[in-house]
Amino acid sequence: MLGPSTWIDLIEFAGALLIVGYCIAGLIEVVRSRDPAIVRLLVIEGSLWGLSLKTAASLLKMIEIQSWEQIGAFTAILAVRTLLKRVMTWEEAQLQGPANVRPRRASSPAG
Amino acid sequence: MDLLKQSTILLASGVEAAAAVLIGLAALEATMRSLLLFLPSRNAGQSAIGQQDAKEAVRLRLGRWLAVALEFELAADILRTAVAPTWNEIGQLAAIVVLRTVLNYFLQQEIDKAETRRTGPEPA
Repeated sequence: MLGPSTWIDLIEFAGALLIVGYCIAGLIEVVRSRDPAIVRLLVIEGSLWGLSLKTAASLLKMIEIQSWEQIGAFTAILAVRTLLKRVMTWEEAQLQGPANVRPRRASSPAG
Repeated sequence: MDLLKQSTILLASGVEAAAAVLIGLAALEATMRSLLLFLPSRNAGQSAIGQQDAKEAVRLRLGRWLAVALEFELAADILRTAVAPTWNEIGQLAAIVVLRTVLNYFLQQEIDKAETRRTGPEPA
Protein backbone atom coordinates (compact mmCIF):
# COMPACT_ATOMS: atom_id res chain seq x y z
CA MET A 1 0.00 0.00 0.00
CA LEU A 2 1.49 3.34 -1.04
CA GLY A 3 2.02 5.87 1.72
CA PRO A 4 0.00 9.10 1.95
CA SER A 5 2.89 11.27 0.81
CA THR A 6 3.17 9.24 -2.39
CA TRP A 7 -0.51 9.81 -3.11
CA ILE A 8 -0.03 13.51 -2.52
CA ASP A 9 2.88 13.58 -4.95
CA LEU A 10 0.79 11.72 -7.50
CA ILE A 11 -2.03 14.22 -7.22
CA GLU A 12 0.42 17.05 -7.71
CA PHE A 13 1.97 15.30 -10.70
CA ALA A 14 -1.49 14.79 -12.19
CA GLY A 15 -1.86 18.57 -12.00
CA ALA A 16 1.47 18.97 -13.78
CA LEU A 17 0.37 16.56 -16.53
CA LEU A 18 -2.85 18.50 -17.02
CA ILE A 19 -0.96 21.79 -17.34
CA VAL A 20 1.37 20.28 -19.93
CA GLY A 21 -1.50 18.60 -21.75
CA TYR A 22 -3.36 21.88 -22.16
CA CYS A 23 -0.11 23.62 -23.19
CA ILE A 24 0.41 21.03 -25.93
CA ALA A 25 -3.20 21.52 -27.04
CA GLY A 26 -2.45 25.24 -27.10
CA LEU A 27 0.62 24.75 -29.28
CA ILE A 28 -1.37 22.58 -31.68
CA GLU A 29 -3.93 25.37 -31.83
CA VAL A 30 -1.18 27.88 -32.63
CA VAL A 31 -0.38 25.93 -35.77
CA ARG A 32 -4.02 25.24 -36.56
CA SER A 33 -5.91 28.50 -36.12
CA ARG A 34 -3.20 31.13 -35.41
CA ASP A 35 -5.69 32.70 -32.99
CA PRO A 36 -3.99 33.92 -29.78
CA ALA A 37 -7.31 34.14 -27.92
CA ILE A 38 -8.03 30.42 -28.24
CA VAL A 39 -4.47 29.47 -27.30
CA ARG A 40 -4.64 31.67 -24.21
CA LEU A 41 -7.93 30.08 -23.17
CA LEU A 42 -6.43 26.60 -23.42
CA VAL A 43 -3.28 27.46 -21.45
CA ILE A 44 -5.33 29.28 -18.81
CA GLU A 45 -7.59 26.27 -18.37
CA GLY A 46 -4.57 24.01 -17.95
CA SER A 47 -3.04 26.31 -15.36
CA LEU A 48 -6.37 26.43 -13.50
CA TRP A 49 -6.50 22.65 -13.31
CA GLY A 50 -2.87 22.43 -12.25
CA LEU A 51 -3.36 24.99 -9.52
CA SER A 52 -6.54 23.31 -8.27
CA LEU A 53 -4.81 19.96 -7.93
CA LYS A 54 -1.77 21.65 -6.39
CA THR A 55 -4.05 23.20 -3.79
CA ALA A 56 -5.57 19.80 -3.05
CA ALA A 57 -2.09 18.34 -2.61
CA SER A 58 -1.04 21.24 -0.38
CA LEU A 59 -4.07 20.81 1.83
CA LEU A 60 -3.33 17.11 2.17
CA LYS A 61 0.29 17.92 3.04
CA MET A 62 -1.00 20.05 5.89
CA ILE A 63 -1.99 16.90 7.68
CA GLU A 64 1.72 16.11 7.88
CA ILE A 65 2.55 19.57 9.15
CA GLN A 66 5.82 19.71 11.08
CA SER A 67 6.33 23.42 11.64
CA TRP A 68 4.56 26.77 11.62
CA GLU A 69 6.60 27.75 8.61
CA GLN A 70 4.95 25.03 6.53
CA ILE A 71 1.51 26.32 7.47
CA GLY A 72 2.54 29.82 6.36
CA ALA A 73 3.90 28.58 3.04
CA PHE A 74 0.80 26.56 2.19
CA THR A 75 -1.49 29.42 3.19
CA ALA A 76 0.42 31.70 0.85
CA ILE A 77 0.10 29.23 -2.03
CA LEU A 78 -3.60 28.95 -1.33
CA ALA A 79 -4.00 32.74 -1.39
CA VAL A 80 -2.14 33.13 -4.68
CA ARG A 81 -4.09 30.28 -6.21
CA THR A 82 -7.44 31.71 -5.12
CA LEU A 83 -6.58 35.14 -6.48
CA LEU A 84 -5.38 33.71 -9.77
CA LYS A 85 -8.42 31.49 -10.14
CA ARG A 86 -10.76 34.44 -9.58
CA VAL A 87 -8.93 36.53 -12.15
CA MET A 88 -8.71 33.72 -14.69
CA THR A 89 -12.37 32.81 -14.40
CA TRP A 90 -13.30 36.44 -14.97
CA GLU A 91 -10.94 36.68 -17.95
CA GLU A 92 -12.21 33.45 -19.42
CA ALA A 93 -15.71 34.87 -19.32
CA GLN A 94 -14.47 38.03 -21.00
CA LEU A 95 -12.68 36.11 -23.73
CA GLN A 96 -15.62 33.92 -24.53
CA GLY A 97 -17.96 36.87 -24.69
CA PRO A 98 -21.75 36.85 -24.93
CA ALA A 99 -21.63 35.65 -28.55
CA ASN A 100 -19.79 32.43 -27.86
CA VAL A 101 -21.53 31.23 -24.72
CA ARG A 102 -21.06 27.51 -24.31
CA PRO A 103 -22.48 25.34 -21.56
CA ARG A 104 -19.96 25.23 -18.73
CA ARG A 105 -19.55 22.29 -16.41
CA ALA A 106 -20.80 22.99 -12.91
CA SER A 107 -18.03 24.35 -10.72
CA SER A 108 -18.08 24.86 -6.99
CA PRO A 109 -18.67 28.43 -5.82
CA ALA A 110 -15.54 28.24 -3.71
CA GLY A 111 -13.61 27.70 -6.90
CA MET B 1 9.10 10.64 -5.11
CA ASP B 2 12.22 11.92 -6.76
CA LEU B 3 11.28 10.66 -10.21
CA LEU B 4 8.11 12.76 -10.22
CA LYS B 5 10.03 15.87 -9.22
CA GLN B 6 12.63 15.28 -11.94
CA SER B 7 9.89 14.81 -14.52
CA THR B 8 8.16 17.98 -13.36
CA ILE B 9 11.37 19.98 -13.75
CA LEU B 10 11.72 18.58 -17.26
CA LEU B 11 8.13 19.46 -18.11
CA ALA B 12 8.64 22.98 -16.76
CA SER B 13 11.66 23.44 -19.03
CA GLY B 14 9.65 22.16 -21.97
CA VAL B 15 6.80 24.58 -21.37
CA GLU B 16 9.29 27.42 -20.97
CA ALA B 17 10.91 26.43 -24.27
CA ALA B 18 7.48 26.63 -25.91
CA ALA B 19 7.10 30.17 -24.55
CA ALA B 20 10.51 31.12 -25.95
CA VAL B 21 9.65 29.70 -29.38
CA LEU B 22 6.37 31.62 -29.44
CA ILE B 23 8.12 34.87 -28.52
CA GLY B 24 10.72 34.29 -31.22
CA LEU B 25 8.15 33.53 -33.90
CA ALA B 26 5.91 36.45 -32.90
CA ALA B 27 8.86 38.85 -32.96
CA LEU B 28 9.93 37.52 -36.34
CA GLU B 29 6.46 37.92 -37.80
CA ALA B 30 6.10 41.43 -36.37
CA THR B 31 9.49 42.44 -37.78
CA MET B 32 8.65 41.15 -41.26
CA ARG B 33 5.24 42.81 -41.29
CA SER B 34 6.74 46.09 -40.09
CA LEU B 35 9.40 46.00 -42.78
CA LEU B 36 6.73 45.41 -45.41
CA LEU B 37 4.81 48.43 -44.13
CA PHE B 38 7.82 50.63 -44.75
CA LEU B 39 7.95 49.75 -48.43
CA PRO B 40 6.61 52.76 -50.34
CA SER B 41 5.15 50.68 -53.19
CA ARG B 42 2.74 48.87 -50.90
CA ASN B 43 1.49 52.06 -49.30
CA ALA B 44 0.79 53.86 -52.57
CA GLY B 45 -3.00 53.73 -52.35
CA GLN B 46 -3.40 53.94 -48.57
CA SER B 47 -4.33 56.99 -46.54
CA ALA B 48 -2.18 58.15 -43.63
CA ILE B 49 -4.72 56.82 -41.17
CA GLY B 50 -4.81 53.49 -42.97
CA GLN B 51 -1.07 53.20 -42.60
CA GLN B 52 -1.28 54.08 -38.91
CA ASP B 53 -3.91 51.39 -38.40
CA ALA B 54 -1.73 48.84 -40.17
CA LYS B 55 1.24 49.65 -37.94
CA GLU B 56 -0.93 49.52 -34.86
CA ALA B 57 -2.35 46.18 -35.96
CA VAL B 58 1.16 44.72 -36.16
CA ARG B 59 1.96 46.03 -32.70
CA LEU B 60 -1.27 44.71 -31.17
CA ARG B 61 -0.81 41.32 -32.77
CA LEU B 62 2.68 41.08 -31.28
CA GLY B 63 1.26 42.12 -27.93
CA ARG B 64 -1.36 39.38 -28.03
CA TRP B 65 1.16 36.69 -28.83
CA LEU B 66 3.45 37.93 -26.07
CA ALA B 67 0.47 37.62 -23.73
CA VAL B 68 0.14 34.00 -24.84
CA ALA B 69 3.84 33.41 -24.18
CA LEU B 70 3.39 34.92 -20.74
CA GLU B 71 0.64 32.39 -20.01
CA PHE B 72 3.09 29.63 -20.89
CA GLU B 73 5.64 31.19 -18.54
CA LEU B 74 3.02 31.17 -15.81
CA ALA B 75 2.30 27.51 -16.45
CA ALA B 76 6.03 26.73 -16.23
CA ASP B 77 6.28 28.64 -12.97
CA ILE B 78 3.33 26.76 -11.49
CA LEU B 79 5.07 23.52 -12.41
CA ARG B 80 8.27 24.69 -10.71
CA THR B 81 6.63 25.62 -7.42
CA ALA B 82 5.54 22.00 -7.10
CA VAL B 83 9.21 21.02 -6.94
CA ALA B 84 10.49 23.49 -4.37
CA PRO B 85 7.85 25.65 -2.71
CA THR B 86 10.30 28.05 -1.08
CA TRP B 87 9.30 31.63 -0.33
CA ASN B 88 11.38 32.69 -3.30
CA GLU B 89 9.40 30.49 -5.69
CA ILE B 90 6.06 31.56 -4.26
CA GLY B 91 7.10 35.21 -4.54
CA GLN B 92 8.06 34.66 -8.18
CA LEU B 93 4.72 33.00 -8.83
CA ALA B 94 2.82 35.91 -7.28
CA ALA B 95 4.89 38.38 -9.30
CA ILE B 96 4.16 36.62 -12.59
CA VAL B 97 0.45 36.48 -11.73
CA VAL B 98 0.35 40.24 -11.17
CA LEU B 99 2.44 40.88 -14.28
CA ARG B 100 0.30 38.81 -16.65
CA THR B 101 -2.93 40.22 -15.23
CA VAL B 102 -1.80 43.84 -15.63
CA LEU B 103 -0.43 43.20 -19.12
CA ASN B 104 -3.56 41.42 -20.31
CA TYR B 105 -5.81 44.12 -18.85
CA PHE B 106 -4.09 46.99 -20.64
CA LEU B 107 -3.62 44.97 -23.80
CA GLN B 108 -7.33 44.17 -23.92
CA GLN B 109 -8.13 47.85 -23.48
CA GLU B 110 -5.90 48.76 -26.41
CA ILE B 111 -7.41 46.07 -28.61
CA ASP B 112 -10.94 47.21 -27.74
CA LYS B 113 -10.03 50.83 -28.49
CA ALA B 114 -8.49 49.89 -31.82
CA GLU B 115 -11.56 47.83 -32.73
CA THR B 116 -13.89 50.73 -31.88
CA ARG B 117 -11.82 53.14 -33.93
CA ARG B 118 -11.76 50.81 -36.91
CA THR B 119 -15.41 49.84 -37.02
CA GLY B 120 -16.74 53.19 -35.85
CA PRO B 121 -18.18 54.01 -32.42
CA GLU B 122 -20.97 51.60 -31.54
CA PRO B 123 -24.12 52.53 -29.59
CA ALA B 124 -23.70 51.54 -25.93
